[in-house]
Amino acid sequence: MSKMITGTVLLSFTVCEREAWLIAHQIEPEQSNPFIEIGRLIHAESYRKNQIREIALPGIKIDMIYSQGQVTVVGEIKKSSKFLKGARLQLLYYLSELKKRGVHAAGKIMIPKEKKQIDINLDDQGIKDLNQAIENVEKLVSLPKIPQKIRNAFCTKCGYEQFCWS
Amino acid sequence: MAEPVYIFSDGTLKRKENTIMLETQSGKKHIPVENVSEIKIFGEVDINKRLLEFLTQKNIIVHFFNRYGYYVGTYYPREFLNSGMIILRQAEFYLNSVKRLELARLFVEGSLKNIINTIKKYNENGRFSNTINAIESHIKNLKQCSSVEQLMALEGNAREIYYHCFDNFVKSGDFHFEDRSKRPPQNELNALVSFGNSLLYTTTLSEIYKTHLDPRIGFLHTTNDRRFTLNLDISEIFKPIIVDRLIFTLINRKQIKKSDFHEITGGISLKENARRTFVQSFEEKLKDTIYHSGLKRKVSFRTLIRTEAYKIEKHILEDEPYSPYLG
Repeated sequence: MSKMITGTVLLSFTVCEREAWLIAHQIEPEQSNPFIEIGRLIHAESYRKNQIREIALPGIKIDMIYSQGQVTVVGEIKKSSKFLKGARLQLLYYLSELKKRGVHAAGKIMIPKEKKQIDINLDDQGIKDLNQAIENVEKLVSLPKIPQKIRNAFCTKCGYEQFCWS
Repeated sequence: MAEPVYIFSDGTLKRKENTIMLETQSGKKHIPVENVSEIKIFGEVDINKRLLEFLTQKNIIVHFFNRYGYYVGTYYPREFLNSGMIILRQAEFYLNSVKRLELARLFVEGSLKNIINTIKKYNENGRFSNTINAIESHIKNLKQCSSVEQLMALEGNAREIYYHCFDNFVKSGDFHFEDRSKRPPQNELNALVSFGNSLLYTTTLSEIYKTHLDPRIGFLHTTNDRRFTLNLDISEIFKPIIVDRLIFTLINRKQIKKSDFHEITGGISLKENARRTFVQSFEEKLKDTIYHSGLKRKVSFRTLIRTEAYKIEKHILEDEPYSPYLG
């Protein structure tokens, strides 16, 4: 069974290990979850003017990519600044994967609702944090069983709520 | 909120920009696609590929029934939540006779326990205590079954005892259950049971579609002929709670009367108006909510059906053992 490290798995790992395991095993969350729908809408309706939107590579789904002068910018659109730690890892992963393919880019976490943009760079600290996170996630997703459910503040808004707590 | 759409009239169903349009002799009706969770068609309706493509894009299932109200089949759009791991595990649990038997037993156990809970609602002065005891002894014997066939036989026997109480649950002398008869049902109560069960089967199938399970791999019902069977398994749990109770209520409130049926070749069928009445109450029932201790909030019966599928997923992933919903 393919257990792929993806940007989303890295992001969810910072919130809930069970969620990361499920996503890595292609057991997707409930699609009619209202928070997932809101997220989808924000993606579709924000920054419509930017030239290139949504590029998909294995494990990567870039929301937006554009040039700013000499710099290629990879943008990740978020609903709120709630999970910045995870969003940073997600972007670092995209930047590192692009670098392997010869594309040097800078990252931006974009939060239209809060009119915020946060720069993310693949510097030494970034590489170190990313490698550490990848190592942890690989350990997690190679576990044969789903990690036990643990209730946290995010559960009530999670697309796996019904799966976990039924 | 997306809701099931029932179509009883004859006409053409097509895509009209981003809505679904039903064109009948009495006019055109637009149904915004975002408000549609599934479609159940009873009328003689023409459809085309453009509509099916649109429904696929929106992950909307269509269930077809013939003019007698019998289930014909389902347009099942491309799988959209496939998980290779879940499907393999599901097959593994089907092929392993011990694992399959365990799940099958739990479905029967849940079904019979819910039958008892339904009987208890009518057990004034303890007049059905013997029936309850008899079914309870069947439940005790389930553990000794060494094959799914034995389980099915035990369930059949227990269900027969239960059906014999039906005449006492309905307060109208116009209805008599006698024996369970299908295809076509031989009397009114049987016609209602058949109709209600097929509504439940299709509803459960629609809910399974929103999970990662493959509806073709059931455990109690043998997987063959590429038919959907997992929805039959899960429906067993809910039949006594949803369908049977609804039938007793509709008859006792005189919402459905003997005159609501007509003879068809070899049996009895519900007239269209009664079908509409039944469907409306059925949908209301699915919207009823109860408190769910795991989720710590109220959920609808429809959601309960879906969570039953999630519980089976967790069982086959060896996360948590399945225990059927008891209502």
